Amino acid sequence: MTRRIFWCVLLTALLLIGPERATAVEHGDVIHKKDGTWVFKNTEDPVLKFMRDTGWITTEKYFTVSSQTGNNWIEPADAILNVRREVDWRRYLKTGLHLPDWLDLGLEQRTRVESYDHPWRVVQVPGNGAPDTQIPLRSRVRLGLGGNGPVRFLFEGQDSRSFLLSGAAGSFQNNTTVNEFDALQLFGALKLDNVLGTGLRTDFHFGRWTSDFGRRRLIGRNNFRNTTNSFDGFHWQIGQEQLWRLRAFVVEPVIRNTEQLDHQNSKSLFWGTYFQDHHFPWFQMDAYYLGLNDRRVANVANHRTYSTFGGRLYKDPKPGEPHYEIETAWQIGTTGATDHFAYLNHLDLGYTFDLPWTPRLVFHYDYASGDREPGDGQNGSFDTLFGSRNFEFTRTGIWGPFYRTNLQTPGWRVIVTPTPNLLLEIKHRVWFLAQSKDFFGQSGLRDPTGQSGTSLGQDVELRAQWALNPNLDFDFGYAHWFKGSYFDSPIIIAQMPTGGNKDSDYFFAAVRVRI
Amino acid sequence: MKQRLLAWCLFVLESTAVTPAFAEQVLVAVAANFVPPFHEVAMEFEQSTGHHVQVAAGSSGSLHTQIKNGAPFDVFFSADNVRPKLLEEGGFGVKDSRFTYALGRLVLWSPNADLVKGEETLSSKNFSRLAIANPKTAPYGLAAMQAMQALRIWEKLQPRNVIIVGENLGQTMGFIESGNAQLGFVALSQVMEARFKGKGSRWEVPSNLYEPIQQDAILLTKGKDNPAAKALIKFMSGPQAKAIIERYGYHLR
Repeated sequence: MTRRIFWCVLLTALLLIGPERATAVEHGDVIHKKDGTWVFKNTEDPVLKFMRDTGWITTEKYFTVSSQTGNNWIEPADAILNVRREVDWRRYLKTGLHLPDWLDLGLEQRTRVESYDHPWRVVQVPGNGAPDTQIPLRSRVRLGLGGNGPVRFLFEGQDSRSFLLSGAAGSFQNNTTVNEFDALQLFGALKLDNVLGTGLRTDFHFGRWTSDFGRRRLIGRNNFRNTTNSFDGFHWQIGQEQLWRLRAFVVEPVIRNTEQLDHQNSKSLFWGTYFQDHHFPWFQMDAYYLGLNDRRVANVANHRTYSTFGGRLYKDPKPGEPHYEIETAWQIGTTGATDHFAYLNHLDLGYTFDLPWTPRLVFHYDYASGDREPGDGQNGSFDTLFGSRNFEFTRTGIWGPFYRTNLQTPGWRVIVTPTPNLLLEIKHRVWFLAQSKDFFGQSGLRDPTGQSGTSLGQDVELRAQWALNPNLDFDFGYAHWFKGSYFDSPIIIAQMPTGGNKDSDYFFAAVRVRI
Repeated sequence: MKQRLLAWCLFVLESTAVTPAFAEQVLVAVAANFVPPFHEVAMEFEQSTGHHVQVAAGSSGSLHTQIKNGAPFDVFFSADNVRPKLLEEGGFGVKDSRFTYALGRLVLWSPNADLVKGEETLSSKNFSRLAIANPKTAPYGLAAMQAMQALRIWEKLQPRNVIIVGENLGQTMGFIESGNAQLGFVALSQVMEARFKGKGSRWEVPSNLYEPIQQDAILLTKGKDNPAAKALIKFMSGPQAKAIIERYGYHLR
């Protein structure tokens, strides 16, 4: 009987597999290898190919969808607000459901496992120094209307939650890791491609939106953190594609609640204008002004009223060429009743070698001012506003010890790309407080006497990112933080969980699926 | 043990038996604009002959360069008739194997459903920008210029400075889609794509107003002994292939 079943299964499999293989036209590219030979490489998207070969979609639809890249990309309403990699992937679900071009539907899910030991934050004292291990889940749904038309709408919902694998008492969990069922974006947009025949494009956005500005140091759509900054208000841009653009906005920053619906507060207002110029590849330039008036908390001492002026000059990396980036930002205003004067300086110098794996070596230096003398009527702590950090400091989420405030840090990193979709990276940075008497980031640690010094130590980080395609990617990382003498000070040890002065190891593994 | 051996033998036998014993593989270079119809033709070809088709798409110029640099293509379907001729003259193509597999059709198209009403649209002042592909490099651009010259419109439009030139058909369509031009001359096969069906307004330019836009194919030297390549060329002149090509908006010779 068993034998009979075996033969039936085998013959059925052969009948199914054989004819399929014989009728599968392959599409791809002919690649010239370095040894002088040519090979045919199939470049078809396997899911779209499956839909076509099984008759779920027509051949015409297959080619229409396959060609929707580059200039044929159907641009969602937030395309100019956010970096393209955040919103550009093959819409399998939409294609499979035979939805029209004017309707956008996308789902995204990211699962990560992450763990670190020897926590240092003041709020983790109740955990008595136990390692913190969590599984953060982030799920997004996008529903857009309007396709490439002038009037478009977008809803993006996000659910962020984090499952604890360690004792809840010492775990770091707040609205940077948890924000259940909420509207991340909900806005209407108007696009005009040719303003008064000038060839310029202008866009208006009104509602709730997320955005990236420049290198994302002061405003960014968080991509590693489990929750995301968003804003309620108005955004406008005008520009000439790839050459220059001018943006302006007035918003109330969204206040994230871990379980209730997010909201905004009329006592918190954020506005600004941002200009970008790409005329000269070696001297690309950003210039910006950002204003913040945040009086929503009851404690008047924490009211923030700043003006931030800044600029950025840079050249993008290119094989066989050096590249650089300089950014400087200056804040003036008041924090509570005290004067606020703070600044941020950033420098990158790098070179990309025109060699196999295109190795890139980059040296970094960052300085974010701190408060020299607390209580002297002058606040010098730089406020990073709504910026992202993980791309140049450390991974964020439950890790992320270092903030762009009261910090100076030189460092270097090497990045290699063995294949176009695999990125390997090693980074080393040395960390110091800019001012010994000010807080260390948002850890809650502070030595008002300054006797603990400024040495925060150094960290080494390894990372591997592998994108099977834009719909499926994997991300792995490991970091070791050699803690500096600051953490051996009795004043600091007294504020930390047990063992907080010992070196910390951090590990994460993540998978993201988008359909 | 015997049964396992028998099973493997059967598997190997079946793997080779599902396609004819003489089944071969053919590697084809296809101009990007012809890929969708060619895919359907290739499917029919595989089912009829058992030969296996591999398709590499690209611009005719880049495929032409790859072939000259030794890329192992068996057959080349170009978007023009110049490059196959050059390949034949350069010894990269089999002599006298060139043939015209499709004739491109020129259309004046606008996403505005009320704008294009016929040739009189070109004389009207209802538009400020008209897009064409570069007449010096793109066959459809040359055909657009010839059509406007035949209608004595070309000279009238020059002082108005309304013509904007795309580097290729894709960019020309991009100008029209983005609103940088209200209308333009493109290939009929482009506006027959699913996303444009039933949209906008168009005028199919009579073929006597421009020189035929010949899309030629050639059997390449590397495929001269490949039975699948020869069979594909023969298949292209059959009724199944012709019906598909016409359905995608091309004329046949």
